[in-house]
Amino acid sequence: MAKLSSKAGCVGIFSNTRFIRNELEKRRDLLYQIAYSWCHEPALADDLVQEAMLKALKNAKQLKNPDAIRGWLSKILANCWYDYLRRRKETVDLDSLPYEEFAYEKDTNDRQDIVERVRRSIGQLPVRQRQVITLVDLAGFSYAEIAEILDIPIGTVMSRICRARKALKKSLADYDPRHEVIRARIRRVK
Amino acid sequence: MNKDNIYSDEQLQAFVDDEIDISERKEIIEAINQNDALACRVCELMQLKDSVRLAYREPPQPVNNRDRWNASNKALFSVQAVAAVMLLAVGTLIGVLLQPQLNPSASTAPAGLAQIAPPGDEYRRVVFHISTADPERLAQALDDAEELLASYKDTPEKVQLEVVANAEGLALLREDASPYVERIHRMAMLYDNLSFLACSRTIEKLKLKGIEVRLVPDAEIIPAALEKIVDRLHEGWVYIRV
Repeated sequence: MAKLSSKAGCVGIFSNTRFIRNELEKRRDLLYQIAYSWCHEPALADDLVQEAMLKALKNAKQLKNPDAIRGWLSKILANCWYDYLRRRKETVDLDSLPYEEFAYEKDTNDRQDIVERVRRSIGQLPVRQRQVITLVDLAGFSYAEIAEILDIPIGTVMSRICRARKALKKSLADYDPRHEVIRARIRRVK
Repeated sequence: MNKDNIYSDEQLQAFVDDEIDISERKEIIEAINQNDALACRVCELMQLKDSVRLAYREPPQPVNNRDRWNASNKALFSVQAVAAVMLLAVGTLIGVLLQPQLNPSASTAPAGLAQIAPPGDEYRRVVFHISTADPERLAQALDDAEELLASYKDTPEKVQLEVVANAEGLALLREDASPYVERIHRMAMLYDNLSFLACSRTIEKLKLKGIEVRLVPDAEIIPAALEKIVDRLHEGWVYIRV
């Protein structure tokens, strides 16, 4: 496993910064996807990613192991998200914060689309369940990595995933996404 | 005891998330192949995973997001660049003064920087899972498959589609039972990015019941359908259950 040399002093810090900048360019889209899946507001998601990226660059020297950058960036993003929620509501309970509190800009007609249905169902999950399920399914993190990113026990990760999927299944129970999946692709190609 | 319930939801979640060891994974795959209800539970979880991926694959973008990043990145970079130039000047001076003491390997880039993975390819990869013999649903599945393949035919983007049939769904690929033998052949001839895969375990089960299975010529036999699907999901394929 590669390690960035901390003995290289300033040269090491600049190498690290350059490395992180390159990684941020490559991983920006994924960070945005994750942020958007949490907040469902494009402008806010973009702000969170911007904030996370700048924090990552400013704290470049904290990254000792380049192989861990994906989790490190996601942890920074999660902290930015928590900071935002705390600023927004000082006493908010993250486990009970409902989706409806977020702006939803789509037209009513578009809500028939599977993408919107799933997004809405995800949005109805408590914030902490929403975070865990998107980190697993969207970013492909392992349970152990998520435990590290969110600073929670691995058992909590598992129970949150289980609860999140049960709720998501219930929410989508009467819906067959097969045809919508096909339509979504065809629409995009056209 | 209901065999469907021998595995808890938590165990099956861990299975679809690839969080269990190989022996337990094999055990669950074996159980899935023996138990349709269990297979359904696993498929539902896979479908949920895929739905989440699909929902956020192309999130709406804010205006000028790239410009914002580039601007802030450049601003930060410019500060660093000035610092770097100053550092370089000081370093050069020190280097000239202390040249014999410098370690030539100190300026070498860390090994990790050369190990960045290349970006992925541009293929859209989709696996259709067919486990029903309902002719209407089979026809709909073939319609969907053709529609999908046709929509990508003349575009720069490419699609790869695998139709995996097991349990009752094997009927689609049985020459002696499928209502769509000709259609499958025509599709296989028309699209080289389309594969029809038949589950070997289902074939064996039918043999045990005294049913000799003859597959359509365009079908390939795979060891186990569910195992194939799990592998495909882990490789990032889109999963669609018929």
